[in-house]
Amino acid sequence: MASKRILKELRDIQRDPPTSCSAGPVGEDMFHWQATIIGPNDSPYSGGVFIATIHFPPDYPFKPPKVAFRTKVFHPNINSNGNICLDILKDQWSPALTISKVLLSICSLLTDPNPDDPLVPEIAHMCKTDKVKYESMARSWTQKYAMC
Amino acid sequence: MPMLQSGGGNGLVLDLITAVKDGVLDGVEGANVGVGADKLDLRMMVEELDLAEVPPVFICPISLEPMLEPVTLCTGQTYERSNILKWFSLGHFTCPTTMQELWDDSVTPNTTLSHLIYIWFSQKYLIMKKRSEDVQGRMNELVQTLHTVKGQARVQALKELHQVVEKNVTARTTVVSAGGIPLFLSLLGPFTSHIVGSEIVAILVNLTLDSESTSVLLQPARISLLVDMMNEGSIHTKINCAKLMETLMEDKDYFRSEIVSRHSLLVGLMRLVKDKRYPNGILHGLRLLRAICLHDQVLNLVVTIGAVTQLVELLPSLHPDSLELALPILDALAAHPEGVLALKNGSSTIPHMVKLLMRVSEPCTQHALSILWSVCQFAPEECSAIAVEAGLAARLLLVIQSGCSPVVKQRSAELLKLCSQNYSDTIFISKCKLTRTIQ
Repeated sequence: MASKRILKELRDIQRDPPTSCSAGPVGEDMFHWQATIIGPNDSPYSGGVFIATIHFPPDYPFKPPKVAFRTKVFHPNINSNGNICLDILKDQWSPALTISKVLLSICSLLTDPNPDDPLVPEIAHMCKTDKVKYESMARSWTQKYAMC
Repeated sequence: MPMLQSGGGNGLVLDLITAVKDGVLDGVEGANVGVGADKLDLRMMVEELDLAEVPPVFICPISLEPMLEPVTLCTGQTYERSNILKWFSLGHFTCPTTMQELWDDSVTPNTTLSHLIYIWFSQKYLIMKKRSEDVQGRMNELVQTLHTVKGQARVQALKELHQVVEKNVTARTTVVSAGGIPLFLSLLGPFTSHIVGSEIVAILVNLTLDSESTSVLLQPARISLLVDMMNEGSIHTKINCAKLMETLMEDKDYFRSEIVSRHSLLVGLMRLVKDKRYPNGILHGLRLLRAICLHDQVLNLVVTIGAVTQLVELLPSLHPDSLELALPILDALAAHPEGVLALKNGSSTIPHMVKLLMRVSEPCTQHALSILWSVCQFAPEECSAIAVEAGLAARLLLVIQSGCSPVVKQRSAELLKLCSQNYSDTIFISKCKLTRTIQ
């Protein structure tokens, strides 16, 4: 069922791509995708192009896909390995979710970080106590790592 | 009973029966479908139809496929029985769509929806069957017509065949079984007009050619016609010629590399690849060029016509799909003495390759690395300096830190070592821009 469902999602994402995101398989392997997320305009990541990898498990959609950033991101919920702390990618996963919805959730995480459930406590602390510094750092990392 | 929003945008919620009556679900008139005839199998109809526009209410939110056995939960959401039961069997007692905890884990067969799905698919299936019978008749008629007609009537018949064959699988099998392929091949020759030739090629690219047909197409007169059309035809004709040539090259029994060792073919092909107005043309042109570059005998000619420089200049404007074709071509040319010389002499080669590292995909990174390795080995002092100035060292360190395969990391380390040999440690480390790369 997994490959059929992934193929269906690929067709849907090509026919009606989500705003400021794109995704598709890397080479021939349908279970390994690469996604591109454009930094949301109303965030310090604006103008950045962020690459993420997506690995679908064999029992997808009953288990969540593994999504990780390949581009460095200064964010309380994204660590230096690119791992993302997002409930729908863990215990709140539902088989009715699609990659398109996951990418939109990641976009909204970039706009609205969740410092109360951090993956990088130092950045979360900065986000809570010195928002200006956090945004300045996020902008600087975006320019350094996410702009061609 | 499942509810759905009316298409009218007035917020009215309808039950499914009303929705059907009012035409929200395509006005299914189901009363007479399957009556008196053998009952059609729903699974078979769903597989054969493979429709893109199935009403969303028929789709299981888990599999995204039409439901064969819809069941409804206590939340009012409907799923394919096997899918929701699998979700439960994994220890989840939530409704996937609403994420609500279930206060009752029983599932109720949704017979109304089941009936509607059956009626809707039956109707579509019977229409499709009728259409395909009509198509078969028309295709046979057109193939027979082609035996006798000439001039404009021949062009019209071919045009109609082309349009139907492009979209319809039944039409393809009918044309083949009606003896269409030998007929089309007999119409292709040194005196065939381009207008007839382009329609025949447009038909042939949609059909599966057997070995005998391939051998006929590979005859010099027919290849010459294809090459002429690739140089002078419309963009669609050029793309179709490239597709057909690529198919012909797959025939290991009859294909010989001399067939593509034609200056005019390669020039026409490069013209197609360079035309930025048509990304699809670039893609198919590169696919054919990649197939051609698998033949060592042709590589020299590819270099001679200036393909290396032209391809390198194209790289920044190429779509990722096209890049994944262009880089293996340049990599193949880099393994050839004249090719590596042309790459070395191109002022953009090294900067473009450096930019492509870790930019598109791992295969692209691998090919870009391989090209850089060939060029830097060919002229170590000159090329290493250019590469390091273009930021190669920093990029290679990124590759080494990344999740790329061990082979790619190993090659990066070797290239880093090769480039560092012309610098003192201090200068090389400053060139690496380490502070920018590793933070």
